[in-house]
Amino acid sequence: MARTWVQALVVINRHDELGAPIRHYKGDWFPCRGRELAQLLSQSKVALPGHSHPVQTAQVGEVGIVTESASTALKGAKCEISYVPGLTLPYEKTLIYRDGPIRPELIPVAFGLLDSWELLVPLWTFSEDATMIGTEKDRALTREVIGELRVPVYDTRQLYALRCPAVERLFKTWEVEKDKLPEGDERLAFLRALYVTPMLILALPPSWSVKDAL
Amino acid sequence: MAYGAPALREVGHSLLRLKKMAPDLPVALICDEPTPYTGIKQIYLKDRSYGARWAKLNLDTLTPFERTLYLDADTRVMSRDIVQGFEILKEGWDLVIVPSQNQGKDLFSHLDRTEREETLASLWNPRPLQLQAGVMWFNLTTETLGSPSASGTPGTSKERVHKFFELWRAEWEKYERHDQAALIRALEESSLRIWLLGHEYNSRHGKVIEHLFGRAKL
Repeated sequence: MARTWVQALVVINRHDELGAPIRHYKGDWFPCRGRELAQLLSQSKVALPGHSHPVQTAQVGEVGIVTESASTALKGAKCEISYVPGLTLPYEKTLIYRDGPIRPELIPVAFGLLDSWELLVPLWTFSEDATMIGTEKDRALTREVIGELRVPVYDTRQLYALRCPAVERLFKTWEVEKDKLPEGDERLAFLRALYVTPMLILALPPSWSVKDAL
Repeated sequence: MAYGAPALREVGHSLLRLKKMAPDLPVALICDEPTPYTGIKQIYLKDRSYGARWAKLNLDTLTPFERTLYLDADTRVMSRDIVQGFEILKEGWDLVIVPSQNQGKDLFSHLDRTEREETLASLWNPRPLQLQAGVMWFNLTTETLGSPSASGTPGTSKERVHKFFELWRAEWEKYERHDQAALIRALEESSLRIWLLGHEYNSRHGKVIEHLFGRAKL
């Protein structure tokens, strides 16, 4: 991952690439990357280019969360939240959150990853695959499309999505697949839709949602 | 790939299984000297690296196929279902691979400390999904399938996969040992359409591909 320029929101003491101590004052711009960048973002100590304070008060239209109703799981998320039902992309980078545990400190990291990927989705678990969920009818329908059910299942309750043609097409296809079997498992419908929409999807380990998971 | 006597022996067992399960699939073997195995294409490459990693990292230029399934020497094909990987590639996916069974605290646990720590420090993603590169299907076709990418990626699988392998080689050369952390570092710089298969396709007791990890080193 290339270095990213960030702006200090507080005084930051760190080391440069040669190990020399360096101090950045509020407003200073400096390059960093990787884990250090993720930590600084999650601690709200830096802002990304193009945002006045994206981590604390995201600009409307840039990054934000879409959810249907207020959730305590999102407490600590430092970006705008819109209460909208369905698969909508009001922001350039949107977390569509519907349920389940989430780690708010990783939300800005995920938005950063959307510079390289079109969609980020955590895996449901490592111990369950698509053969183990849904009804027989649902699985048969899914097997017909994707050919193989021994595949990991995505946790579709939380999707980090870039507003782009691939994601828009995926979401439309997903709705169509859900309509085919309204009582079906939406995770299987997601697999069917994804299969026919090759795209830049980054699967995240379940520990993205639950800290102590694998 | 067959480099050294243990790997050459393992390839023999692996070929037997493969030919039994998928007799119609053409097979190529990358090696540094002639082998006794017949009915396959042998591709010679002198490998300079630990565990013949360099040959693996050059698969995109060595493979004679447009759609390739790469198998480590210590794998055993247990089912005809391996063809499913090719079907997925035909749908427009660039790489089909299986998550490693080592995740979480075991992430990159097979690496030496320096590479592990430096990898974790350099990655944007602090908790990546580790992938097991001993079994993978990759696409070198020039068909433009799937959605046009919003992120300005090259338009064909061939371009994306070549670019990925180029990055993988460059990342591997930083430490010249294992390939998995280099793979994750390279993926952060790549634009690949990756479809995941489950552990039955690459694990110790996989029902489609059994992976007898480490057998080729004995």
